[in-house]
Amino acid sequence: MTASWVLAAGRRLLAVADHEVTIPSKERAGDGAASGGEPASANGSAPGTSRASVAAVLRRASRAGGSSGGLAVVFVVLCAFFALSSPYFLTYGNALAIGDEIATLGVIAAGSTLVIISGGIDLSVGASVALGATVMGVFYQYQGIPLPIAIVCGLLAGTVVGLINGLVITRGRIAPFIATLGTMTAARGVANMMTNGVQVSGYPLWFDQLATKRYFGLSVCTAALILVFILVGIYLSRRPGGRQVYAVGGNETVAKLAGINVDVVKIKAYALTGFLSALGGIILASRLDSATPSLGTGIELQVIAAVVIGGASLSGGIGWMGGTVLGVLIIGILSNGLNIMGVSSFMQQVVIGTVIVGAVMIDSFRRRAH
Amino acid sequence: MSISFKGRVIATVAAAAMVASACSSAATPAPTMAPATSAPTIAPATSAATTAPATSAATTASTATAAASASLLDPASVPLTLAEFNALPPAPACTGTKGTIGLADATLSAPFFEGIRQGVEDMAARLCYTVIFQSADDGATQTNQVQVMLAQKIQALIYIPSGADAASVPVTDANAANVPVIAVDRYATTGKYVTFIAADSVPGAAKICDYLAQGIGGKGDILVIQGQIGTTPYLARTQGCNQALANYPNIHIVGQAPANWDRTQGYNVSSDLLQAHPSAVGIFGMSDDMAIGAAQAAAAAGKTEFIVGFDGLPDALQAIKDGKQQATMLQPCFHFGMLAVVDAVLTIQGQAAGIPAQQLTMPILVNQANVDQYLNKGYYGTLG
Repeated sequence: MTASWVLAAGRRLLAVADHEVTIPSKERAGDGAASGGEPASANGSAPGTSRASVAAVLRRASRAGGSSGGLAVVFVVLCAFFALSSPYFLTYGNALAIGDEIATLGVIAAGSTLVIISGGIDLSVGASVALGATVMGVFYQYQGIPLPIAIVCGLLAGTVVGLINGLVITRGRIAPFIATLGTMTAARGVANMMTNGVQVSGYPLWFDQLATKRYFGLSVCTAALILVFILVGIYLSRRPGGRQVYAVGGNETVAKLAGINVDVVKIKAYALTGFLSALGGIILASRLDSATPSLGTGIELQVIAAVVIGGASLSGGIGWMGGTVLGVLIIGILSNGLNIMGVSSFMQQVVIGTVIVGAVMIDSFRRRAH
Repeated sequence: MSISFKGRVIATVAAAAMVASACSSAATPAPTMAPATSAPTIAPATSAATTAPATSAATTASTATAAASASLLDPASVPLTLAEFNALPPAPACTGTKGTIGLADATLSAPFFEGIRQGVEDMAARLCYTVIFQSADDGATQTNQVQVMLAQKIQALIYIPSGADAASVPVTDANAANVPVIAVDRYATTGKYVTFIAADSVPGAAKICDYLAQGIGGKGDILVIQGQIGTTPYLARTQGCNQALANYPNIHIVGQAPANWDRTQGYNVSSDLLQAHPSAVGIFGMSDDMAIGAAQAAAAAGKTEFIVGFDGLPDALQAIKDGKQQATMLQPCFHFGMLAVVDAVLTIQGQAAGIPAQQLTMPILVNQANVDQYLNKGYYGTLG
């Protein structure tokens, strides 16, 4: 329902923009009651029509987010299955272990949710993981910079990669897939060059303990994961900036007509993803007590899978953070549960792939049924 | 009623993502691939020369001094560590290069292969030979690299195969070009080699697993974190460990899973196995990278385990010193690199006759009691 409505609304509004057709006044009045999150507009946008339709798009999109019931069902079914298969699955200790294992994936998925909702895609997250960790490692070990500052440098490095992505995609007008493919290769190359391909290890105890020492059951890294989900989730659903992301993803032309600076929205989404990827890299380095240029290889596809399972549409405009959380959890408990059951790793790959497709299909059927 | 267009798009793309992620995780570049011997069909008994490096530093120092007066090209007196290498008397200055040697190495993000590289380059510089160096994550890239090296007219090739299966194309290419090949750590089953230099993984794994068994009191449950299934190090170390554990009927392997020589996977797999088997008291990580991952996972789960690894990575030696890991088997990779160059130069100079077909080194058991003899002594070159 929502999908076809958005498509139809978009087509009609494009036609308006091309002066081919005018929107009937009845619809204009009906949609005039904008919800509280009017996108900021100042300069001569087409009055009423586009802004009102954008508002309608946003209302639909955020409602669509709440209907990930199919996902919740999948999650509960999986948990029940694993709990029945092994007494060790549904334990406090295992829950903590799962939290540890999905921390990097989750942190990156939070940022990628914004990118995907805005209609783009980011393949360079894995390379930013490696670059963030490597910059931190090299600055600390080889340049003698104090570790907290080196960590900040690593985060900056990831943000820079994200900024480059955003600029190349918006100003350079290059398709996100290609642009991020390029930065993915180049960023990993830089990480390799900085260390000559070698691991950088040997960090102080407190850095190690970010991942191992638990305060009220949570390690610092897992707490960071939860914080990231909450903060980015609030930004996405309640802040004007977040709503602009939906507008840009739903229909870029409409958003532009409504006065949204599409380029800035996209650049912010990619920069945030780059920052969060570097944070994921530092979390991983803390967990493993080493930074390698090969960290995070292949994680970009896991991230996309998690976000898509969570209900985001790869063509943009639809998705919500809660869905991404579910997607990340489903992937996390899948590999954890299958390992606990002792399933062979080859069989695990088949199962994980099947569940990914199944989860998306269930959700798609359910939404279509509305 | 047909699936909506959107639904189809989502499902298709998700399927593509699924397939791609399954493929990418199946074909993991295995960045931290552990080194080891190749097919267990090599019977150590048939090797003509088995070096036992477990001599004290003093003895090897005097051997090194002897080497100073003898020819530099004596395989028996190749230094074991960077420290010993630096202690050699200064070499005569080089007047130009005497020849070119190619080094086709596996991925440098595994410190073992970086150690080999340093050994090769340091000894080649001392002997006045130029090294053309390349490293790769996979066999296909390595094949291209070797072909380029052969076009650059190398006079000998030192070959450390990467990838799960040693590619034999580089070797057959080199054979066809009459370039002698020295294999280190593993070799392809077809092709001719001057010599094969490696550690003896089967008895090495037997020794470390025996140490683990003793360490947990001869009984109990243990976990095994495996390397990439099907690779020769995996096969050799599985065989060796099973041999040792056959003597301990009260020790049971309650959980094992592959982590593909990768530290991240080692962490995740260990974390899950520790949850599934709370009775486990010991862990054998087939490579140190995975063992360190297991140690980190055990610390995060608040469990104390008796953890042993294999390779002797500097990180692992430090972990042993800190008590996070209990033991490992040290492979002197810097020494392997230097030995490979010495053999290459001898072959180039026409003195290949005395070089044995295999040179297998028994790795050294390092634990907290003796770790100070090996930590930062240069067994891994500048890495530690």
